[in-house]
Amino acid sequence: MTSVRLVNMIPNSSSGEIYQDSEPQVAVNPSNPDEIVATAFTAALGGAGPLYLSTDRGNTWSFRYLVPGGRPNDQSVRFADSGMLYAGTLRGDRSKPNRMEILRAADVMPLRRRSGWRPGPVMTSLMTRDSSDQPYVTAMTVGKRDYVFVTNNDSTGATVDHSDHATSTPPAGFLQAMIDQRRVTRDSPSVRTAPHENGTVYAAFCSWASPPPGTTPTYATAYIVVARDDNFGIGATPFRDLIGSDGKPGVQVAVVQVPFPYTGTAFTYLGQQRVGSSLSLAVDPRDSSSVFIAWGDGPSREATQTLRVRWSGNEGQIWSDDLLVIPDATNPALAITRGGRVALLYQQLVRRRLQTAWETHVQVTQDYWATPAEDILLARTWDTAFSFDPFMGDYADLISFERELFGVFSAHNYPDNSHFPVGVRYQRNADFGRRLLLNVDGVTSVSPSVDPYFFEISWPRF
Amino acid sequence: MEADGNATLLGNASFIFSGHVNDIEDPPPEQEDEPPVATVEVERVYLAPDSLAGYAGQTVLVGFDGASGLEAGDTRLFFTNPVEFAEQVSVYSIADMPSGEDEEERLDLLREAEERHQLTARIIASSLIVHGVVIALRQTPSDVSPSEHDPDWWIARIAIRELLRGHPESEPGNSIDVAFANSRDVAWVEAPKLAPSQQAIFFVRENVFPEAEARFAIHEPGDVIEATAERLVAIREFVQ
Repeated sequence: MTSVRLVNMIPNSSSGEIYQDSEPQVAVNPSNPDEIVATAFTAALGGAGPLYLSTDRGNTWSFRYLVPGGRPNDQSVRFADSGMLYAGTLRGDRSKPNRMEILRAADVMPLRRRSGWRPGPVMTSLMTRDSSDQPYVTAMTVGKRDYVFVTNNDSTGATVDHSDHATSTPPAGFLQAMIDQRRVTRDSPSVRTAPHENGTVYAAFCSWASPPPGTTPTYATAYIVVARDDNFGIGATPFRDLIGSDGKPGVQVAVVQVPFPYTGTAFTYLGQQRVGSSLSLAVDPRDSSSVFIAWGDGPSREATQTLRVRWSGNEGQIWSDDLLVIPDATNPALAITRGGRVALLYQQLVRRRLQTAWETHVQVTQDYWATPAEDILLARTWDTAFSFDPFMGDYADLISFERELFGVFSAHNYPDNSHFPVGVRYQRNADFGRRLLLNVDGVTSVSPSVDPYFFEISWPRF
Repeated sequence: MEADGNATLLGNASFIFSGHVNDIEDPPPEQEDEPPVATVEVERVYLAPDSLAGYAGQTVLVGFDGASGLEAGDTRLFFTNPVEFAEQVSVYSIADMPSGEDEEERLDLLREAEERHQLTARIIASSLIVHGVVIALRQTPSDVSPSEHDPDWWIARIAIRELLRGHPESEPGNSIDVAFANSRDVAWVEAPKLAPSQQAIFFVRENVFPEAEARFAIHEPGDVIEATAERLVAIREFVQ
């Protein structure tokens, strides 16, 4: 029997907030899984951006202003097994455009009431670089070393900034590896890694192969590529242990069409959500040769963007055909549990008569989608309350810890039980009977907006 | 109160309220270097983000940088920034002062001082200050290395009604071209968006973004403000 726990993460003390809290990420502390950290585009106050914090496995959430530079323009967080938290951000201040910063903190948990009360400290800066995009963190501890991989789309294409001793003095040993040897121009923003504790590290990116000239919104041919390193990314030529048929690092999983130029006013929209750079990658924690990838491509006659899932059982050398195809969907996030369950989180636009809604699903399979997967509908929410791009975020997040799945997504917060088929718990004041959000006084109504939601999916242990 | 001496209080504090100190708790002996924490019932909110606008009647925890000098029973005007939203809201006090019947008048003085301070800062940061109207818009060519956070630079031609500061190659009655970020991406959504026929005071900066293809740019939220007679007079006086 599958158990699902869904929580709206806005704290009760912030019941009056109406911000677009989109693009969430979540990190579970392996050394203490009660401690969970998350991020979203929640407003900065006092010059620092917030981190969402839970000390009870996601049942209750607070947020605390710890991220330097104001509210980041992109952000990603992961714990290493050591308990150290790592983050990659694009700083919120505009001193330099797209300034990526890699951060670290040993303890970010909530203030101890009436003791140790001081603001901050903010996270420690390890390094910065300008003109980067969408930093995305993975981390693990092997032996006594923290291995951290921060993918980003540098102006020169898909890049991994990586360290094999990330707890050391700043800059903590971070080295830059440009992993796209096919690029014609900058790649799609999303770049992902999936490290395994035996030292195998996969990296996926979408390489624009033939970008057309001009600014008119159109489509470019692109390669979905998976590269691999077999020794934690250490060495002079990292991520070159998997060579494609063209002799270049990385295997082409597919040749696709993606929206181009993916910038300015030229985005492609699914409802109010910009789409065009959707990518996820997961390695089986029990078998490093087994790796899954999910991406979005299109448009086609059937859909604005279509998500596809493929699998390789031989270290990324040969890939399956599509295991799963989902039209009009975005924000794929793959995870594999130690129990062997493979899961995909995604958000799909559904049009029914006069109503357009976003459905947030998790599909869980134990046979690689050979038979229909367990399909958990977490939310069916409105496509309204847009403030800025990206409406729900350019990504959502799903991770595994031991045999459970933890995830976050952003969606409209109208308090209607029919919008949350698995049930939901709001921390912020809400009257589901009258379908009203209420301020901290429990009386004054508050306008609906986009909030982050945390969920855990678990199964009985026998 | 000397308002100008506290001119930055309003600019640096995001949550300003008057409140009644219910309780002061000193730190435990093992953390004697820590400051005390006050439990304060918010009586009136003067400035707040959305999340705190409805906090009248609620209690918040107020931390200080050192000894506060407060006692239970005091009523004070607090200038704070939030630190944490948890079971309760914790805020950090950057200043507090006596509360009383005249606090609205004192805050009005502070607001005026803050506006003067902000105006002064904008004037100093600006290469040109123009009272004018937007008469044309055009998009610049796309960046060769596009990003989801691309500013989407546009050029606005602003007809100058009055040149308040600076020396472009224009005279009043002429125009200048100014770049602005038209993107609604999270990175640029707060940057001013200019519209045809928009009349305003424009605080124009030397452009530091090469891809904007303009000598001048506007990209911070305070770079475009409504043109009121009082502001025009204040700017003229400052510049002279």
